[in-house]
Amino acid sequence: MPVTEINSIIAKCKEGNQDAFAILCEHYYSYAFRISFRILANEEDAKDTVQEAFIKIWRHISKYSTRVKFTTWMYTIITNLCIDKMRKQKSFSSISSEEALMKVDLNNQGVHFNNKDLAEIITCIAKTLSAKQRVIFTLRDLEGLEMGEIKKITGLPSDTIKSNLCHARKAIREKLIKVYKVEY
Amino acid sequence: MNCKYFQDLLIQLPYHELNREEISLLENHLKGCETCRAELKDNEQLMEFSKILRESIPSDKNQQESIQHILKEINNSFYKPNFIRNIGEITLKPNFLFRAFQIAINVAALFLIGLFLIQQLEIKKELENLQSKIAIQGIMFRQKRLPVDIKEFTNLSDDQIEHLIKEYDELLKENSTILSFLRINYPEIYREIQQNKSIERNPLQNL
Repeated sequence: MPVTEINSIIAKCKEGNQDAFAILCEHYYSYAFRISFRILANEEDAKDTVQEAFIKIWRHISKYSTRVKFTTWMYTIITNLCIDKMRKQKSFSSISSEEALMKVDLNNQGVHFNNKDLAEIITCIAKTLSAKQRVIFTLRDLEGLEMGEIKKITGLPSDTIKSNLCHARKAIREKLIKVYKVEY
Repeated sequence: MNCKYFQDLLIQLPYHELNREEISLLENHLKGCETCRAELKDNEQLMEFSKILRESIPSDKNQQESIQHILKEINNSFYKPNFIRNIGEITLKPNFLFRAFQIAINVAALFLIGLFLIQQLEIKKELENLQSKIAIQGIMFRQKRLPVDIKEFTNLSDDQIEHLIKEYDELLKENSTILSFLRINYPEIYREIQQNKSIERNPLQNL
């Protein structure tokens, strides 16, 4: 959808137009669910977070400025809600063994995992990461966002983002080495 | 420089996150360090792993249901963007009763607050009236002593004093003191009282 069209939909939302907001939901729901699922690694939690995020977006849309990309603003809301959820849960609700990582065949790029397998794999790799590290790893390595955008979403300085990303990658790498070395 | 220095750079290399200077520094080190070359291979595998996960896009099978839930929630919510409460737009929608109930509660709360403020004002007025009444009573109490002065410092008979007090009582309603009453209506009695009083206060005056 072109930016001008999105901005005109948002302007209508600001006037209280619920039909315009329905279009916004239809367009961005999948993006919101994707990021939420990749951080939380749980379908139900991801769905709840997305619903909560869209209700929050509706209530605070008057504060949104078109100077920032809508997705950046939406991701900020979602990541904050995800961090809150992770801090409340403290530990993962689903138990995942390290064997889940074996489902990933590094020589076979074309494999697409279903939600269940993906949740198990993400749970396994993110188990030892802090909430902040999980969010940064998801935004950078799984969503492929630029450093500048991650900076805007998280509100963290570049150095903090880089060091958190390094820690997260090293922790996951160690886990992969452990699993694949056993396999070989 | 030892390998520890290059570890952070090594993990960023497969993601193309290094500048030219850092890349050339790292390449020079990698030529002579087998450990770091092995680590780079592990890092490349990690990147491949992330790439596979990135390609698997999770989706919500019940997306439409979830969107309907969101829209229902915002429709039921009293809060509108910019805090617009479209009271004028109320029609017979399913959530009409809910909105009407919220408005009724707000109106009732405002009414109760108004009632409380009015009561407070009335209490304040009552108190002021009471205070002025007490003040008048105080003045009257002090003035009751004056007939004694009249008896003491004049040669008037009891009947004459009684008559004066009656006239004074009438005037008391107009907040007049007995002395000012005498000064205006009976200046000779007033002068007599003042003269005798000053003699008593200062007995040396007669010497």
